[in-house]
Amino acid sequence: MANILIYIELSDNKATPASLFALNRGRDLATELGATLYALLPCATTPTYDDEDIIAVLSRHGADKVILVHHPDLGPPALFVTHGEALVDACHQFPPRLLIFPSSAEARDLAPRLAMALHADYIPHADLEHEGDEFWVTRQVFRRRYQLRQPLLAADHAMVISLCPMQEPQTLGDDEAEVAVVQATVKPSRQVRIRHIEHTVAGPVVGGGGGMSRTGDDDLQRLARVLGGSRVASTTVCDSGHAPAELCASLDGMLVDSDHYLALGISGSERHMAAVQPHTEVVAVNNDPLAPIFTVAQYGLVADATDTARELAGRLKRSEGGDR
Amino acid sequence: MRIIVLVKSPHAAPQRDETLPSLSPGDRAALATALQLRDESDQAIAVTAGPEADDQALRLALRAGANHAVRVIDPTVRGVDQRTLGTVLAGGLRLVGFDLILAGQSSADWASGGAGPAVAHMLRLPHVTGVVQITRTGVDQELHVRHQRERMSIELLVQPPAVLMMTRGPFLELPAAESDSGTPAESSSETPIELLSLSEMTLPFRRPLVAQHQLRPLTRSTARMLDGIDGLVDLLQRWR
Repeated sequence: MANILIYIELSDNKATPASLFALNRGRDLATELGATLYALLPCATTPTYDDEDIIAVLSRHGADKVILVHHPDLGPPALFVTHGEALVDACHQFPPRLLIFPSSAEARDLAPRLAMALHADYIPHADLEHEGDEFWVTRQVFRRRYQLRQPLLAADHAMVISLCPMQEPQTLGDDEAEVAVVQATVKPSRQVRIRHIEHTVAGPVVGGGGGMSRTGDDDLQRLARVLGGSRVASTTVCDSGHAPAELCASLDGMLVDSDHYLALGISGSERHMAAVQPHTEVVAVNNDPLAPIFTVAQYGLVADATDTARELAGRLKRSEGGDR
Repeated sequence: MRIIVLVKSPHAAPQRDETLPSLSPGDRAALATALQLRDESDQAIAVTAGPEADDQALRLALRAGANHAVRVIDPTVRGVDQRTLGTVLAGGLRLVGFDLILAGQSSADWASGGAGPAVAHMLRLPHVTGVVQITRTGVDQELHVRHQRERMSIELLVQPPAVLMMTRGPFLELPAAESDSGTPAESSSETPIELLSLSEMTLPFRRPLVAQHQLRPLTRSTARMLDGIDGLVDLLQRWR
């Protein structure tokens, strides 16, 4: 029977919602394919057992079995240099046909290298589609203009994918998962050492384009500040001298590497979208309902971008009780 | 220190054998960082793998200040297959020599972010993704590396050789591409591009791993449309 492994990422000692969503999707697949669904959990201490412990949570979200990859050095955050060897060992003990990561920065560090170690195909920022009898793995490529589709598990080798969370995770039942403990061997890297961890929330990026009046620049700045994020501009705005070239997000400029991007009055040209990372959730505001940005954004609002920026900045500032 | 920068000009679109006259933004961040880290005894070497059209990225890197440029030639390189690309690049880098390897987090075409870790795997080097800043510590070749993720920033001490994949870097204005300026490619740089053929080398594998795939244009809106600004405010509240 094939094994499907779901990597569980922790935040504050709890499985992240994206991990539980991946577990939900893994459950669907495992049931359809007759596979066993494992939750793969690196941990520095073995979890305690009670109603809300992580084993119970993973069970309720669909895991048949939980693999605890245990070593005192395997606490979060996980990087390949700290956790990779232990995860490769666990995958050799429970060889996956499919290894699913929740799409995240942690996955971007771990998943591609694990795929290499497992001689597996690697598909990041993916979604799963079910058509007839077949499952497909899809993801957006070419600046979100094309969809790449591959049949799931059609080849003779394993697949490693990272799955974009599409909805809130659901609890599926009360069955208790079996637990297997892998006592991991960890050799601290001599070349890479963690010196300091700072817990900060990276705010969203707020972008202004040619569809915004220049009177909105201050509101844009204020909005970025209220959201705790940073500001970028489109090539049109920078080329016309209304924003410095350093702020230009484009194929010829800087990346938008935040998890969230609020694009105001931006048309969504290919050159601009080349700067937006595949994992970034895009919310677009544009008064043109046919603007290309709406074909690549996750959320859209047809409205005047200048007015929207002004109203948002005011309302978010009020709801916070003051500007930051 | 020999600082390798893996660069690539993103491909224009499927079924069109051309590249956009620029670098992927992550590669630009990597190049800018390499040029900033480099001191008088160091060399910044731009490396790519692929057909002649990919020389565009190397010429841009040379004009921005890279010391050398190398294109690795191997018939097995395919855009979508990061495993083969990583294997071929690693084969080339063994011949070129390296102390530190920088790359963009992901390209602006296939955008998988798999090439850097693949190179690191083949060369048995540590890698770090999501790098937003690199500075020297002043102790030998040791580096301060800042890795950024959703809710934390991790400062690492890295002793090269290692592969570091950048999402941000210092601002670097690239000179206009040849196709924009109309000047002949050959005259754009005094430094010739070195061609490195691996056809005689025994690589661990040359068989592409990627299963048969399909490409479909995305032309229709998939955005969830919000009714009004209230919905947008709710959404943004969740981001905070």
